[in-house]
Amino acid sequence: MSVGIIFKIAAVGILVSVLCQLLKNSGRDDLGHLLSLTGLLVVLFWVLPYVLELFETMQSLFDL
Amino acid sequence: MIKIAAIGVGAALLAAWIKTIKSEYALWITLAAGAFLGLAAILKLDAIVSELKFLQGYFSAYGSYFKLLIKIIGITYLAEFSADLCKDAGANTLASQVEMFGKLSILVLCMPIMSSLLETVDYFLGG
Repeated sequence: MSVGIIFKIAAVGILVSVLCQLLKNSGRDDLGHLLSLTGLLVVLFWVLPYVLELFETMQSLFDL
Repeated sequence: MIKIAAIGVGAALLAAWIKTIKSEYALWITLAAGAFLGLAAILKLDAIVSELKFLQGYFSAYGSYFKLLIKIIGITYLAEFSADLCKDAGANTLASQVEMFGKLSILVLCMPIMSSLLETVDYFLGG
């Protein structure tokens, strides 16, 4: 469950960096910035449920 | 335990390596691994908390202090986790703010205990 997501994040990171390099060489540098932004958003939506689950468990366990 | 250690070290190495390629993803890997390890730690802590709640039955007079103790443990854990994450990201200012807020909220929680302690002492001294 968790190991998969860590490697998925790494994979997205590598993919985005390669594509950014590609776009930079072909002169479309602004597209590269947009691409890295979307990569970050994808990772955000992957990690968010885990963090949410952690904080909800904490809240219910310690009745904060 | 082996699984937890392996995930921790693996995520740290992966984050260090990916920092050279794309630095923002290192923080995401740390956050994901931290969330998972925190979840595992809390599930382990669940047994301790339920045991504490069971013990609460014996100290009927001071039952509320156990509840406070558990709440303080939670606040400390949460503040520590988020402050260290901020430090990882290089935002030491935010980390100290979060820690300060954690300390203040614990202090606020402890106020009633302080007053009841002083009342008891006052009672003993024939106040």
